[in-house]
Amino acid sequence: MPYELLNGLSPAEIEQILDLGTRLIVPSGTLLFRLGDPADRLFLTERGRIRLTLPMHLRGKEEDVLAEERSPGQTVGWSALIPPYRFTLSAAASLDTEVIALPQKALREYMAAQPAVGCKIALNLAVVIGHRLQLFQTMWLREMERTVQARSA
Amino acid sequence: MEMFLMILGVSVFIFGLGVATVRFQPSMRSDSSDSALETERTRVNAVAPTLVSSEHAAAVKPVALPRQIPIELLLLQIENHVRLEQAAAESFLEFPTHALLYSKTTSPFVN
Repeated sequence: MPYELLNGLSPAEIEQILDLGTRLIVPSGTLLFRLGDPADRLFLTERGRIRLTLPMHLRGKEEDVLAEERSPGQTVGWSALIPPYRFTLSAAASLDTEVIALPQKALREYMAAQPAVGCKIALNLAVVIGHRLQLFQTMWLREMERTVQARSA
Repeated sequence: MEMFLMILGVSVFIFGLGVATVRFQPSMRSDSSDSALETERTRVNAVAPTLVSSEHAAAVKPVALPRQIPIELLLLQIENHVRLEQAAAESFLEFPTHALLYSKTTSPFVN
């Protein structure tokens, strides 16, 4: 399985990282973490699908609305490596899903002990975060343009 | 003889009256039916545009009916909108152009 976070690492390095984690089966519909929870683990999606949602007030009730979906190989919960180490979205499995949960503390210690590997992981993380930023920046601009057009019509 | 002439005169008068009645009756009927037709035409013209004229129909703004779709359907529509918007944003990021940045989607929220 090519994990986006471990891109460019040798098979031995990948093995060492994966050994830090725990394989979890997440049945369809099960919550993996909730917005605001302490981000003490980072997840590598092995199979299945994870829904990332944000709360939205609809008709006086709070509903979880889809923000993004993560597929096998993709990273979930990178808030574990970014201050303030709290999840900014909620995550739940939309199919029967398998993930590798990497404890934040163990991963940070490994990255500190292996700076070359740590640097590659940090750069891969920058790609993941950068893509999210560009994607949502584009979506925000599209919505903004429509809002302005509607108000000035 | 006087009696005969009187009867003849009355007969001629009655005959003339009959002929005049027969001659003028159709024209009188035509006038009244034309008038009724015109009234009906005016009424139809007044009503017809609201029923058949596409120009008139286009000029009338659709009235938003006060209906509320089920919350499950609303959530599905939002999810569909997010997926379409993400796909559009991904297309832009793969090949950034002004046209792709503002490309239209089929989402009901933007149409």
